[in-house]
Order: sequence, then C-alpha cells, then structure tokens
Amino acid sequence: MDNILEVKKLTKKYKDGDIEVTALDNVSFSLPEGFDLAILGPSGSGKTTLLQLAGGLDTMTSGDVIISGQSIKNMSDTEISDFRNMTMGFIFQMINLHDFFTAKENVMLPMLVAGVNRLEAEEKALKLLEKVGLSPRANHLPKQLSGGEQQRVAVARALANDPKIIFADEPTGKLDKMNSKLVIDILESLSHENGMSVIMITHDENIAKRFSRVIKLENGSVKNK
Amino acid sequence: MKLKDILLINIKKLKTKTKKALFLIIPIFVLITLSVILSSQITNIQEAMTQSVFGTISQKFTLIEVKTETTAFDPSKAFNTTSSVEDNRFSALDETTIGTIDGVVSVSLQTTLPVKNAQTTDLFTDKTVSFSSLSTLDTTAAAIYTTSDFTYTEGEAIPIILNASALTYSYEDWGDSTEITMDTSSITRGQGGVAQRLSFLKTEAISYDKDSLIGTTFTMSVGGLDSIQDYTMDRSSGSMVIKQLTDDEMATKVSDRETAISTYWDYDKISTPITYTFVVVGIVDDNTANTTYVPQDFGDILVTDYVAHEIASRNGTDIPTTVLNSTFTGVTYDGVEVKTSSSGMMGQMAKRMESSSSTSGSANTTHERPTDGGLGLGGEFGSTGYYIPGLVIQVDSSNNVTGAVSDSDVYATSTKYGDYLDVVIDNVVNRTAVIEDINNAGYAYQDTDDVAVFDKLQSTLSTVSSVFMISFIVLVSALVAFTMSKFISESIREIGIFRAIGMRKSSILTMFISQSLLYVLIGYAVGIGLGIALNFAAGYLVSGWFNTFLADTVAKTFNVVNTVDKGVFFGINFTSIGIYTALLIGISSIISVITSLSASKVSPVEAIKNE
Ligand SMILES: Nc1ncnc2c1ncn2[C@@H]1O[C@H](COP(=O)(O)OP(=O)(O)O)[C@@H](O)[C@H]1O
Ligand SMILES: [Mg+2]
Repeated sequence: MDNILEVKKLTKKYKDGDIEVTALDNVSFSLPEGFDLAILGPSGSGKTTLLQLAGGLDTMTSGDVIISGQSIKNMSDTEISDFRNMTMGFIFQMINLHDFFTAKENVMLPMLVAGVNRLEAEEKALKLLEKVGLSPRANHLPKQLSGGEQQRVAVARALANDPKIIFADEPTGKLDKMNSKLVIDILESLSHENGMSVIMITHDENIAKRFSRVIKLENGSVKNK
Repeated sequence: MKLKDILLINIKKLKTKTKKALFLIIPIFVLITLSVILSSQITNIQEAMTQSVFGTISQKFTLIEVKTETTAFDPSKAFNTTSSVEDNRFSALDETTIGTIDGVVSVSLQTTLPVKNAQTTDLFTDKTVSFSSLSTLDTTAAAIYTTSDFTYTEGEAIPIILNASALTYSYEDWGDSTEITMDTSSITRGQGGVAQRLSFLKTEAISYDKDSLIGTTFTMSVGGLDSIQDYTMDRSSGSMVIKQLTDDEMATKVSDRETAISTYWDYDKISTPITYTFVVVGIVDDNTANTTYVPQDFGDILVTDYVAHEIASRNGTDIPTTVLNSTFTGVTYDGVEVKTSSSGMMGQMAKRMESSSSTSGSANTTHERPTDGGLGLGGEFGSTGYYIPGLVIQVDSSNNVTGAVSDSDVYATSTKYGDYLDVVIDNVVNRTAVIEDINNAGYAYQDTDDVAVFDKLQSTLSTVSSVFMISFIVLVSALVAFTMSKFISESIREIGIFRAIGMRKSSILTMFISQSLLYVLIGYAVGIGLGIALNFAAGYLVSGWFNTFLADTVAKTFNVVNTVDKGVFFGINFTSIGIYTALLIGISSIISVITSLSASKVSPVEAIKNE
C-alpha cells in the first residue's frame, strides 16, 4: 500500500537570536493512502510546526517529507506553491477567509490560482458550498457569517482543487461543540467521499477518536502511535 | 494564475475596502488636481505676461545692446575742433568675438551713417522731424522691432524703424527778451549742462499713434546745408551772453556762406538734399539709443549717394587743402575709416543739441525761425567751417588734410566702427548667462532694472514650477511608499492565506503592484478631470489677481502695458500634464515594485499563526 504522507527524521530548529528552539526533533511516521491522522499533544509540543513542514509552508532543518511519493524537500518556491495548490488543502484555526471575498469567491480562489476559468470555478464553488450546506450564503462576506459557517466555507475551499491531502490546524478550536461537530462531520464525509486524507491537529480527544490514525507529540517528539 | 483574475482581486478589495483605498487615491488626486491647475496657471501667467507686460518688450529682451564704455567727459576736449575718434569703439572683430558666445544668435555692429540733416516734413502735419542719427540694423536684430522684412529693395519704399525718443520737435523761446545771460561756471560739471542751460531751446515730444504710424510712407531728405544759428554766444569769465541776431545780421550770414560755397560748388545743387521714400515698419519706444534704423544693406547706398551728390555738385574749381576742414567741413577719410569730423565728445554733444526737429509753422508767442536741420553746429559754437554735405576730406595718418575725396564709393569700401553691438540671443531665459559671458569676454554690460524685474518674475515663476515638481516627486514617492507599506503590513495574514492556497510569489508581487497602480490611476483620473474643471475656476481668480498685479505693480515699472484677454487664463498646459503623468506613473511604479517585493516575501506560515 502506498503512503499518502511519509515524514522522515523531520527536525525543525527555530533560531531566535542566540536562542535555538528545537520544535521538532527527529520525527518519523507514515500515513497510508485512505487513512486520516489526528495529531494530539500539549501546547508547544510542535504540532503546528509539524503541519507547516508537512504542508510545505515552511522549510525543514533536516529530514524529509514525501507526499504522494514526491519529496517536497528540494522543491522551488514556485514548485511547492503549485504543489500546495493542486495536492493539498488547508484549514486554519480562524480568520481563515479573505474578508473582501464572498463565500463563493473564497472557494473559487484555489481554482483561479490553478488557472481554471471563472465560470467553471464558480460552478464548482457553488456545488461545494451546497455540500457544506451554505448555498444561501454563497454571496455573503465572511463577516456576515458565523464562525461555524466560516469554517465550513474553509472546508469547501480546501476541497476546491480535489487535493489528495487536507491539513487542518485546530479548525474547530474556537467553535462551540455543536458547530465543531458539524464542521468535523462535513470534513469527514466529504474527504471520505473523495478519497482524501485529512491530517488534523486537535486538542479534543473525542474528535481524535474519529481518526483512523493518531499521533501524540510531546516536546517535539512522537510519544506513541 | 491569470492576470485578469489578479486584477479582479484588486477590484474586489477596492469595493469592499474603499476607505482604505482612499488613503492613497485622495492624496494622489489632490496632487494631480493641484499640478494640473498650478502648471497650467503658471504657464498662463507667463503667457499673460508675454501678452501684456512684455508684449512689446519681451522680444526685445532677446536683444542685448552692448555700448562702448564712455570715458569721463572732459570739457576741455569738448570745445576742441575735431577730437580724435575713441579707440574703444567696436569693429567687425568684436562681432566675431561675441558671436562665439553660447546662446548668441547674431551680432551686428550698429554703425551710425556719416550723413547730416536727415529730416522729413510729411510724417507729421506741420512738424519737421529731424533724424539726428541714422544707424543700420541687420535683419535679425530688426526682427525685434518689426515683423516686416527689413531689407532694401530697389524701387520700393525703404523700411525704417523710428525711434520714439527722436519723435520730438524743438523751437526757440526767448520770451520777451532778445538776450540771455547764463552762468557758465557750472557747465564743466557735466556734458548735459550746456544743453540744459540753453534755456531758450525747447523740445517737445510729438504725440503719435503707433498703430497708425506703422505702414506710413514718407519722404526723407538727407543733406542740404545746415541751418544758420540765429544767435551768438559770447563767453566771458563766468558767464555767457546769448544774443539773437537781427534779420539783417542773418541775411549777411546767409549770403556770406553762399559766396564762400559758390566758389567751389554749384550752390543750388549742394543745398538741395537727396530724397528717399521710406515706410515705417517699427518703432523703438524704449529709449536705449537715440537712433533711427535703416536696413543694413541700405547704409552703403545712402552714403554713396550722399557723397556722389557732393562730388557732382562741384563746379570744377580745385578745392585747396587749406580751406578743407577750415572754411569747409565734412567728414574725413584717413584711408581706413570715414569719420564724422564732429565725432567723439563734440559729436555726441552736437547730437544732443540737434536731436530733434523744429516746427515749420510761423511765429506765435515764441520766436521761431524756419530751420532746416535742427540747431546744427557752426559759427561760434564748435567748428568754424561751413558744413558741406557729402564732402569727404582725405587726411593722412597724422590727420593732416591732403585733399577732397572724389570717389563716391569711399564709404562702402571703408572699415566701419560703431558704438553699439546688437547682440541677439536665442531665448530670454539665457539672457543672464549670455550677459555674464559677454562681461567675461571683456565687455562691460549691465542690464537695466526693468530687465532685472522681468528676469526676476520669470525666474520666480520657474522656481515655483520646479519647487512644485520636486515636491510632487517627493510627495508621490512618500505617499505610495507609506500607504503601500501600510497596506502590506496590514495584509500579512491575507498574503499568508494566498500563499498557503498556492499563489506564487510572482502573483503576489503582481497583485500588490497592480493594486497600488490601480489606486494611483483612479486618483490620477479623478485629479485630471477635477483639475481641468477647477482650472477654469482658477482662471477667473488668477485673471482677477493678474489685472490687479498689472495695475498695481507692473504698470509702475513698465510704461507699455497691454490688457490681457481672460481666455489666456483658461489655458491648460498639456505638456506639463504629460510630464506629471509620466512622473506619477514612473515614480509610483518604482515605489510599488519596491514595496510589493516585501509582500511577496511574506511566508505562507503567516496564514497559520494564531493571534
Ligand atoms: N517562528 C518561531 N520562532 C521561534 N520559535 C517557535 C516558532 N514557532 C514555534 N516555535 C516554538 O516551537 C515550539 C513548538 O511550537 P508549535 O509548533 O506552535 O507548538 P503547538 O502547535 O504544538 O502548540 C514551541 O516551543 C514554540 O515556542
Ligand atoms: Mg499550534
């Protein structure tokens, strides 16, 4: 079975002047295709750092990340940008959307970045919004939407280019229980429907339980699998 | 990502974040509005000045009339018969020297023609105008005073440029007495003293209408005998007694002269002047040189005719050298130059004495005598001989008379000298620089105050223009840099999200450059529109101010001030607008690129940071 994500001896050291912080220390794991992953761990344990490196948002100090068989380590900025655009989707904690775009336009954006023509992008965005239950809100600006609704738009946006992998950093961290559940439900069903892997950082053990794989980080190292 | 989609993002941003955009749009539009109005109005004011204040004289400011340095007046020389010609007069050599100066278009030597008694009776009714000094002017310098062709064409009226200060007439006013006693102890103080002290000599300006005078054709006679002075001056210690001659005394003087002249000349012929038809093409009304101008190519013709007339008037009797320059005077020729015998200080004074005309009407309360050529020089005052028009006396190098010249081409082939060099420059703006160069070349020349005022006004306006343009550049740079930096620093997370989604660095760069240019262009478009509209309002204000300025300030400095058409102030300076447009686009592009580079460097990690 092929792995959707392989993390090999991944190390990240931040340098703040003279002080060096090792946020990730020799982390290795792999995630087979069709599996989801929840990353647990206390604050400051390196979860976000791991997600940033795996998603090619930041450069690693050493080690390697292989996504769908492709190492992202030596990709140029343009290559990794295009790769993120086509292969990955991102959902962040909050203030996730562009405030000058409507819900629909936010969802269209990854497609436009990919060079898809506007009509096509619009059509697909509307479909995705329908799937996250926000058809009536398509032309609303983020500030006109609730937190839960905003995150559902973010989910729709993450799915726009049919990525292989979706990274989410505590997407429900600021939502109430009901909305959290709704967002996770939607994310789960849509990713499964499309055969995508979801890698999500969460504090919530109950949410983590719904994932096929869970890793716990502590002080930059994997505690157990 | 398609450029069109990047641009559409900016339009979205503009629509939802209009207030922010206005931080850049408004200052740009204000600046552009100001620059349209300011640059247009500065040009309009300059144009209005050209039309009003400098309508007649601005072009003249392209002329620099360099004069020979006058040596201090020496009264002892003034009363000598023929003072020698000063050596510092200009020649063709000086034309060449000054001709090499940057900005100089042409240099021409202004030579005073050695003719006497040039006058006209048909330019003004009842008034004889005498032209005390006729000079030649080349076509380039003439263009300053006239738009007509200033060349001589055989068979046609000869163009002439009159001098307003020569348009005067003189008469004698003795009051009730026939004798005046003057205190002469003060005469030595200055050259002008003599003329001023002869209080019975009156000069009045002839009023004329420039427009109707231009195009007028008139006949000028040149030559003929001098008028005989109708008074005697008796100089004794400390005072001078001036006494009118009686009619009998006058008749005696006239017949004495006739007898003397008839010995060698046909009296009727030599007393008849030669005549030419002229057409007035210009009037010099700023009293620089008291000279009337004829075309350069006409100078030789006139003098040759003048000399030929004298030669033709001789009756065949040889004129002994002893009587030349004693009984008879004329001009002298030393083998090089034809000199008026009265040149030098004496000549200058003679010109003053004569610089006028006389009424030809008959007596009223003033005692008048029909005179032909002003008051002239003769008898007791200066030279003792009878002036024979056209007579050229040959002298050797030590100024000894050797005979009368019988070749009428003598002047045409002689070397010419003059007191003035007419230097025409390409542009008034270069005047100060050229004057500096002229001085550096060893010629003393200083501009008059009026010219300095003009220069100052011009340079003030130019300075305002430049200062505004520099401010514009600085302000646009600062504005774009400041607002764009602010936009970018407020958009860190937004950029992070774009990057996380996969937008390339180059797209981010394009997005921010186009954002800044979009705002600048909106400000520009509004500014141009409003600027052009407000320029009309500004035109009203400025024209009001300008007329006040004309009346209060300029009219006090310059005597000739034309009114200005209001329309001048509604002019729009499209050249300046073009320059400001180019500056705006250029500067904002550069600053946009620089600031946007920092936007493209924002890490995608910024998207994920939790506040
Ligand atoms: N940009 C940074 N510069 C310096 N230290 C950082 C930076 N980002 C994270 N860290 C440090 O790395 C460690 C891991 O952080 P992080 O990955 O954000 O943890 P978590 O997401 O699990 O709370 C922490 O000690 C944090 O202070
Ligand atoms: Mg974190």
